[in-house]
Amino acid sequence: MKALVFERSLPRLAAARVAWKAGPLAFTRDAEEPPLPGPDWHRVRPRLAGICGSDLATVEGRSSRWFEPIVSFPFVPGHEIVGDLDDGTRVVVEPVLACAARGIDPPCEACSEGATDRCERLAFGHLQPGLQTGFCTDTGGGWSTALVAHESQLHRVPDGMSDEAAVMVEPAACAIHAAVAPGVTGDTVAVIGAGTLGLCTIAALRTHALPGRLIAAAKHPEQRRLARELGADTVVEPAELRRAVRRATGSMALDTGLTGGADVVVDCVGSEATITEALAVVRPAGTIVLVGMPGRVNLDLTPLWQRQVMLVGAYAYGTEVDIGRRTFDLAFDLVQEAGLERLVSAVYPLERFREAIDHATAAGRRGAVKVAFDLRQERERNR
Amino acid sequence: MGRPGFVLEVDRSTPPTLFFHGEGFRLEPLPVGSRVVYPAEPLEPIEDPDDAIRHALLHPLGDREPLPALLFPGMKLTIAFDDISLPLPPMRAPDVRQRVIEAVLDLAAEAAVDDVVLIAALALHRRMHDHELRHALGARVFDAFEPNGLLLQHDAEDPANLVHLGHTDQGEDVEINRRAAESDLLVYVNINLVAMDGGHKSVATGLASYRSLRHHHNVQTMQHSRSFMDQERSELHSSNWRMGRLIAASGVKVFQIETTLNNDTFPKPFAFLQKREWEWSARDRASYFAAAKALDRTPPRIARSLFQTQRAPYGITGVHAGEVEAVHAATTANVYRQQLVPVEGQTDVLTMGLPYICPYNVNSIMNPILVMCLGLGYFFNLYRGKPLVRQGGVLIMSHPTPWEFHPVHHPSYIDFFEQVLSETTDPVEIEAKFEEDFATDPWYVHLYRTSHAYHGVHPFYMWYWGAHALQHLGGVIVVGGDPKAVRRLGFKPASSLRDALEMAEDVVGRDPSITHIHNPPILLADVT
Repeated sequence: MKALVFERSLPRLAAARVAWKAGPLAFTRDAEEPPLPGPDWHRVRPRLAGICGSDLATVEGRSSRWFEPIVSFPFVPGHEIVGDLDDGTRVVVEPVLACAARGIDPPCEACSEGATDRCERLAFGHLQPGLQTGFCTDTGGGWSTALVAHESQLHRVPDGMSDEAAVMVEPAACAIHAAVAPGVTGDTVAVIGAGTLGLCTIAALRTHALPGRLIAAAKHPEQRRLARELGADTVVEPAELRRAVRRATGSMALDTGLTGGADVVVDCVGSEATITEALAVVRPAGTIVLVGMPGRVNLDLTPLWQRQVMLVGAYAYGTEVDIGRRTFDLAFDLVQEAGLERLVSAVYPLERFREAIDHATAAGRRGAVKVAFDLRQERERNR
Repeated sequence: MGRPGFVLEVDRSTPPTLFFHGEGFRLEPLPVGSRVVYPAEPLEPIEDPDDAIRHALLHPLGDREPLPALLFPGMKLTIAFDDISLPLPPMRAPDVRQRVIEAVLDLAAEAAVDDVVLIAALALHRRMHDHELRHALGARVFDAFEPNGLLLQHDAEDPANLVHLGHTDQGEDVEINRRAAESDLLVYVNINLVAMDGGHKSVATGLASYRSLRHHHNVQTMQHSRSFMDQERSELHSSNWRMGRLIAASGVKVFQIETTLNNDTFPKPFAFLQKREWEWSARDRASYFAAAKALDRTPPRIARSLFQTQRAPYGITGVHAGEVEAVHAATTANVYRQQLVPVEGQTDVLTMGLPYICPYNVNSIMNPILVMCLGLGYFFNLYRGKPLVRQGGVLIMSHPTPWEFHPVHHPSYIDFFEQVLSETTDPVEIEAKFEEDFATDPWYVHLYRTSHAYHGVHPFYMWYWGAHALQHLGGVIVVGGDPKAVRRLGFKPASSLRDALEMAEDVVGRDPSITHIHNPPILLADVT
């Protein structure tokens, strides 16, 4: 089969930090299709597979070493997947490889509550370690013509839903999980970043958190336009965020930040600069939700301590207990209601992966949001 | 005696015309047949200003006794004076305010008046820096009053030091500085740079609160002031007059001292800017090219400080004192004597070069909102009769319009530019949707009261200042401006005057009539 394969190679990982093209990602036409690990497993032939910020961090050698014990090499990246089963059923893959997929019974406490995002067995069971499909050597990933997925990971795509809409379900689920996280309530919510996750988060907040005022900081003109369309009340450039939050909340300002601020700040970038900015614009006893994958950052946490701010992570999806539904089910609804398929800006065949990744890396600057691989015309999948 | 202003018709022999362009200037060839409106040359100044001041204090106009007769031991005397926004550029020392205030203080001392307070009439402008106060008042006055807490800056947000005097017959609140209102005598010392300044506006605006100012600093008033330089047709003037009369009727005794300056605006190195281009000597041309070249190479920040340190060699052309309205009639006649230039007929396209300074960026940055205000607020309104440019015509102004703000002086301007103008440029919508929020924002109030910031509502007033022009014009083009900033203002950017004139034709048709207002020095077009 065709696949993009990520090998473990320390020199190549180091090289990727300088130029990702010299890194450990390679295209092959001769990869072995992963065997089915058990009876409840299915072969999935991807139709579209998105390129996510965490994929780019991996490809560019920027990922945290935290992941080392919970990934296995070599692996095929790609966890935003819409594809076909052998019987022609169109499915979206929920990529977290939790207890059920790993054959662990009884499941861990989190999985038993449906909170697969907090699974404690990501490195155990009959599969190689891997927090998600796309990071596990046994399952394969979306950037190929075939992968395997457990029954518990599959969500049937409604007939009227386009592939472009379906490929947005996974990022939309991440956004919903953040929007319904504990502490995400209040009159003023600020969202930092307006890439795929930021824009989906704006839509999710508008649907689930219902803030009185939603302020978004977006770097590029097209992102600002989309942020407005998806429900942000005020959209500003990143350098303007502090002033916009101050105005909206009637706060005073000090050199280091605001004296008051937003009730909730959702950071969809996760860089040192954006977390610092989040700490500067959140109100005392407010909440910062980290949706963007942060990696290693150097931060002054004094404001977090002095202003008693709650900093919470929002990773993946599972079951939203307060709503009583699977996050992916909510995501299907959100994608359709908010028209999130409009965020798919460009698709590439697998062979043009270098262009695709360059495009995804510069998406905002080039007026794009989601870039995906299009495998619908691949000969291998139609055999 | 200087020559009067006049209108030149450009022909083939006319040299290129000077356009101010922020901290720089350009020479632009105007199409044959264009008109250039030139200001008058400076009037002869009064030979002995101190003598003229003393004469005015002793021979007041209107129903007022001479100043010595109004002064008595034990009285409470307040002397209010115009702030940093006048004159433009600041005048070479000694400032006329210093001369007048020293004369008033001499008389007060002779009358054994010892309760004297000076108040800078800021309205909603920024508090002046000490060096600016020292320049306006002179070291002797500053050192005598400031260390003793007797030199105040009006605080329009201090309820304890404001007094509500009532409502005009139009329901306008009149609320002014308590110390001024409760003094036995309020002496107001003004510099009347343009016809809009002075009269009842000095106290009714300069010493008022936001509650009072909002009755005339609004879109409705500005759209009905045609122009606000023409007292007969200015709703701004009428409102201030109603308020001033109520202030007088409330028992506040005002002794108004108004001064006028000639238009000798530029110091020696830039003297060529005062001349008509075809009269430039070889030395003037060399000065122009040397200055233009040097400024091209100078970083903007350095060029800005270079210009901001310029002091104008103005001559004093008049001092009148006494009852407000009688004084102002004499003052206005004097302003007109210097500034009025008769112009026949309107134009399709009006061009102007905007200089580095306006009333609100002295020792500061000319941000894009102030560019709009200077062009569409001030220069557009420098007319009597009818606007220089016809209804639906195009205004072309030249200015670099950098996306840059002084963070201490103009904090609310930044938010206005980022938040308000990104949503709408319609003054009516802006006023309805955003004004109150900005005006009452506690952060802006804090900065206005304790730092050196213009009031939170001030950028709104700048925008309203241009409301009449926005309603009247078919388009505005900015030559040489930062395109992003120009578009945020709702205007069109052009890289050259030639491009701008071509763009203007899309609005006004082919072969339009073109008029250039050659300002500064300031002129007031009397358009028939």
